[in-house]
Amino acid sequence: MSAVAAKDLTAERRAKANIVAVTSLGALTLLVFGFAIGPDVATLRTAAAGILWLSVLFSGVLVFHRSYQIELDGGALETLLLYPGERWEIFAGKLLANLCVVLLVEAIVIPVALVLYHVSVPDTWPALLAVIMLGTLGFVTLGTFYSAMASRTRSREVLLPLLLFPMLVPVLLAATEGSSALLVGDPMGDAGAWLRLLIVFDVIFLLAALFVFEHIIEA
Amino acid sequence: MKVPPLQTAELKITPQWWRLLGVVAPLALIATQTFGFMTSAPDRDMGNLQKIMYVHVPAAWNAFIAYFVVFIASVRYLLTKDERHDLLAASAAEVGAVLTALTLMLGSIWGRPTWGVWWTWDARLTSTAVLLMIFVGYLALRAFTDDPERRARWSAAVGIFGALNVPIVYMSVRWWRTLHQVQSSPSTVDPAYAWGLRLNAIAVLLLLIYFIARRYNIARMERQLEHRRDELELRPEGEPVHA
Amino acid sequence: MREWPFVIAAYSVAWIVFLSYMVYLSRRERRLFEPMLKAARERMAK
Repeated sequence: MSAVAAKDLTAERRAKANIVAVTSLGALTLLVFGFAIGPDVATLRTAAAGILWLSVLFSGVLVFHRSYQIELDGGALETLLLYPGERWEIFAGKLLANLCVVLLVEAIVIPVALVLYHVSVPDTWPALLAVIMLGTLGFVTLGTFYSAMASRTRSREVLLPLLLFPMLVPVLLAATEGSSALLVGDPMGDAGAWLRLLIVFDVIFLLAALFVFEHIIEA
Repeated sequence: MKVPPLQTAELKITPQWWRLLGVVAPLALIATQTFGFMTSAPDRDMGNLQKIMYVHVPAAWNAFIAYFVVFIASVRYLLTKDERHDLLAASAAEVGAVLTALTLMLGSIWGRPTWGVWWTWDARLTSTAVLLMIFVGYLALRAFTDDPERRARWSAAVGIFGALNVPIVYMSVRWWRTLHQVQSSPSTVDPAYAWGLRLNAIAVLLLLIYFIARRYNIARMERQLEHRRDELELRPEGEPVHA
Repeated sequence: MREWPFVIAAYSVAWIVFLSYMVYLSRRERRLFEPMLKAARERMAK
């Protein structure tokens, strides 16, 4: 499993340009949403969490495609499957690699959002960090799983979002609502419930993906 | 290469008990809708708009039943690798998508005179919209995957994941709505209307069974033709084809 | 009464959807039966 992760990360490091491109797209999305919403600070602050997560979603899907492109281009998938080790380890390896990349992108995009949308780091930032990590985990779990299929079909650019985004509705809601609440110090204590939802979601789909992955990767 | 058409015997590839429902179900539906119209007095708040509930709610319930069928069939496919389960899942998904779309349209038609808007971000309606997108994604995946075996495996995975998500989506949307409560949801059903609802739901269920069974029959026949075509391609020219 | 047009619209939409789907199923079946019926007709013509 660590071998797969290491392999993917090495490939990504060589494709540094790709990470830069994805991060730029994330930042660009933030900017463009800012134009769409208008310069009123109060509106921007309210919308900040939602826009941030949407930017992560839109740029994140590009990361998932690359992950399978690497194998597809070299026909390496068959070779990979011949290696000893369980199929789920392949998934876990890819998941880790994608997670690192997406977190890296977020590490840059989130400060940009804080600046553009006039949001300051709250006292409740540890909980906020937890929401971000758990939300990202759910996103990357499903993204890695669905792109294993979508990347190998004819219309991959549209099929991945089409399959993935409806499945991410709970993550989107929990992450945006949790983030929004925590950014203003969570006066009503809502964030706890959303955090619990994220944990449940992550556990369910991580387990489901690990179990089912062997069925979607070629026998 | 000319594929011999299906023989008459093969038309009965699945048991044909459901053909009768093609007549019974619509008649039952007309009966239950008439019953609904005649027995329901105008509601306090909704007036005669309440009668829309006799189509909207049964459509919604049966869409979820269809999705349940997709889930069970998907699981059974992954366990047995028998393609018949895959075809059943696909049939249920198609019918379910139609019913879900209908539910949304009826919800919209009901909402316009009630709230003055064509859409409310009501928890149930919004969850149904998400369910429709999950169905559509499932059908799109099938459309874009050519290899039947891969299509079956992938659809089963997507079907199972979607089903797992349905309760989570509903809970999260409902939570989200209670945080931003603007208007109240449609009230829970007045007991006076319960029987009308139940009967209409059963009639639509009969229709659901009919649609899925007929669609499944078609899927089996189409697949049979595909098998036949594949078989022919494996034989050298001129050899007789055994049925 | 302002309500009845919407009630009628709702029931109409539902029935249109049901009937359309039934027509779609018939068409799809017919595409399967066509070659078989044609072959039968040809055999009868011989």
